[in-house]
Amino acid sequence: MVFNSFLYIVSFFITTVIYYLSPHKFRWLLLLASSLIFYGAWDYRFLLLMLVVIFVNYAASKIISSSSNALLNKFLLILNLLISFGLLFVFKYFMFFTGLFNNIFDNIKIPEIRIILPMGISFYTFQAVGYSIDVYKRKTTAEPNFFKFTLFLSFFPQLVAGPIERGENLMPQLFTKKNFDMANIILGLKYMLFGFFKKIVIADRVSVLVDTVYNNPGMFEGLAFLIATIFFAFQIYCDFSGYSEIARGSAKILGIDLMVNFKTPYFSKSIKEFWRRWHISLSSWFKDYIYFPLGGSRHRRPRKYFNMLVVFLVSGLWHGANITFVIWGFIHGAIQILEDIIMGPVNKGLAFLKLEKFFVTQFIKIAATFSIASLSWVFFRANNFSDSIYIIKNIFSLPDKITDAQYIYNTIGKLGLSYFEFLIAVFTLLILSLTDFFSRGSDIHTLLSKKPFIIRAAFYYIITMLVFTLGVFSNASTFIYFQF
Amino acid sequence: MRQHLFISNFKKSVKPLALLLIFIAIIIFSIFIIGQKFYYASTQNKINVFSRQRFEEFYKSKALDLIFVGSSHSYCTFDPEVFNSKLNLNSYQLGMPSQTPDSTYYTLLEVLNYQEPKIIVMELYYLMLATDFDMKQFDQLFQFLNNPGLKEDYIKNVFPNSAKAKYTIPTIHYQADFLNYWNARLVNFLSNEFNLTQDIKQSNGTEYYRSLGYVYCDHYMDDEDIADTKKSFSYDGENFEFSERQLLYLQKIVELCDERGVRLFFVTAPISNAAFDNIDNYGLMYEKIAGFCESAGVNYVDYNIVNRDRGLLAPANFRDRNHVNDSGAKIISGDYSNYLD
Repeated sequence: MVFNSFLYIVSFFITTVIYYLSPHKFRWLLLLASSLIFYGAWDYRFLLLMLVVIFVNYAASKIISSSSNALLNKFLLILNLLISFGLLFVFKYFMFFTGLFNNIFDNIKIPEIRIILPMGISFYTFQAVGYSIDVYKRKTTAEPNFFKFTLFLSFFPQLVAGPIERGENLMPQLFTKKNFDMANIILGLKYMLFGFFKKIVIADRVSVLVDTVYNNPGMFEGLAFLIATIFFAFQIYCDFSGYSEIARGSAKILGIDLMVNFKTPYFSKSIKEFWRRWHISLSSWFKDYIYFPLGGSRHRRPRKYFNMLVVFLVSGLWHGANITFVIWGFIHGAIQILEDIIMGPVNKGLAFLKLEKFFVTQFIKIAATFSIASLSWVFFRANNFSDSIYIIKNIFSLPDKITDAQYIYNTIGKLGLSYFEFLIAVFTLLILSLTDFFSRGSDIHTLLSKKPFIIRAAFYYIITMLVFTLGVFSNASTFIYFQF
Repeated sequence: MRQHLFISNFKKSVKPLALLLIFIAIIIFSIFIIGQKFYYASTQNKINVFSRQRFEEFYKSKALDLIFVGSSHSYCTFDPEVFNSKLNLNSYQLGMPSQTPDSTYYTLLEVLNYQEPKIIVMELYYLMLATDFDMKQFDQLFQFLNNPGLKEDYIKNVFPNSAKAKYTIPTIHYQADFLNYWNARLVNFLSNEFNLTQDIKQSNGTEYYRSLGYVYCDHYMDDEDIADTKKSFSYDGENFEFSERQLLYLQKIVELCDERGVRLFFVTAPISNAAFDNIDNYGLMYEKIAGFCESAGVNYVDYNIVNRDRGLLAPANFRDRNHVNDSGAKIISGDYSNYLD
């Protein structure tokens, strides 16, 4: 059941009504049942796999929590990690590694089995494992009730594409008493509305252009790649942050605050800052459970850089079983290392010249970060490695006639969107960029809450009308991050 | 328990709830006002104009013996005049763009309200058999069906629940028409004001609604079209699966014709040789479709197979990669009328 479907809207409405009409002690059971139905509606086999991961983590956490035997606890944690990541490996990476193995070794062939990737497996596995590690480190105590633990890992708004929640944030909220609060409902609806705007007005429209170019790169040249790559940067942002906002909105209506997953990332002034604003729940997971255990930045520079590179290579692999994702992760890791080396002296120089707060300096930093992030998305989106190299090679090979209006007009005409829809895409991207600009570091709803009623009402009216008039409703597409 | 419910803080909630309801009311009102503009755009669509002419003429037709139904492949390929002269029948073409079998079923119900044909020839195009639901298709048909009861049945029985909701919202319902209409205006504006011309191939022929539901077209595929097809078109027949919904309606069509004593034939119209060559495993797809026809006891001819085996058509007989032009229609109609004879 996807968020942008009629079925979800109706089911969620019914769930909310029953939720607020039920006595508190039964509410979590309703959420549990709804979550299992929500996930099982895709494929009941996915549900069984998820329950296995939940059970393994539940059992390990419970024993670890009650045992004071350090060796046993360590053994149980490692066993838990092996089983959880082992299942993730089998379902997500088995085909990738067998293909890689068979390509390298001609003489030995491992049979290549087609395995369906269960929806959201990376998300719930990471949430479960993070929780078990927290229990092992005594940061939290294990939940004794298996069904409550199941709800924590399967809570439907964030189950298939995050945010990857921490026990300390989500667990208490699921079971504490909550009164009906109209303010929560209104704010939740605002989150959802803006999420739908991002998803069905922007992401689903620009995806047509991106797919046209990226699925047939041989038919296009520089300008088309440039437009498609910029559009993809916005597509993935709107698709994923749109999902996160619908998830936050759904949870907010139920009185639960999920963590913020995006903070206007394209207004970051460095790649390091970008990762503090993009998919925050995943970056903080990697920081807490991989980067810090490896030693983080406490070591000398070579080791610190090695740790950074490991985190980003793993992050690339987390996104998908393909060499293109690994390269994408490597680029982000390498750029951060470069930033660490170069930007220190550069920033000192700018401070000396009193240019660090200067508008042009800020603009150049933001533009450079956006350009690097967008170029790295080429590897993320391209169908294979050779396509990504072809696109990178050609993206800047712009002909002399690049300033010729007729040339631009002809190029746009071949990108899969009609001229009018292209104009709509640009117009809506402009709206998004402006709202992100004015609310950078915060969110648009917080910013608007300080404005007069008429401005707030006008903004939400325009966004709602844009959804109902320009939203792409022809096919209920899924979200890009479901595949991870 | 009361403290957790809506009624516990009713007074506090009244104002925001009232504002929310007013907001929703304004949105609904706006959608229906703007929806009028969207609806207007749908009346300006050229393909709809052909379909309108086709249905208007149909409703005035005298007794018909043979009726063709199906997608654009049907009205481009099967020329009723050829069948009339060769078989001495009264035939009519009721194909519509992108018509899927569920839509064909309701077209047939309408047809059988007005006519008692002896033969129905239903054209089967693989993409339409695999398409689960397409609201644009129904929009066209709904504009021309005389029987309002059929429309209601159609919405009730065929539409997925999500589509029922979308259908009632005019800005979603007519959105595709609206976008097409404004795109045409934008292109016109850019052409007139800035002298920008679209990089689309100039038409090398004419196209118009002729009569008996048939659309005449003498465009032809040139070397550039063929090269473009070879470069950009591909399909793997191994991936073809019937949509469950369309399979159900194919069965219902068979049953309907059986009940009404109408002889039913299935036929696949030819696509260009260049497109056909780029379909991998066509045989697998053919086996699935032919297998269904055989199990339903309906005669089936696939003109892609016939064309491959007998070389009936040259590139000059195609208007584009998917459809024959008038010269191709004459060849296929002649051949198929011999088959029916």
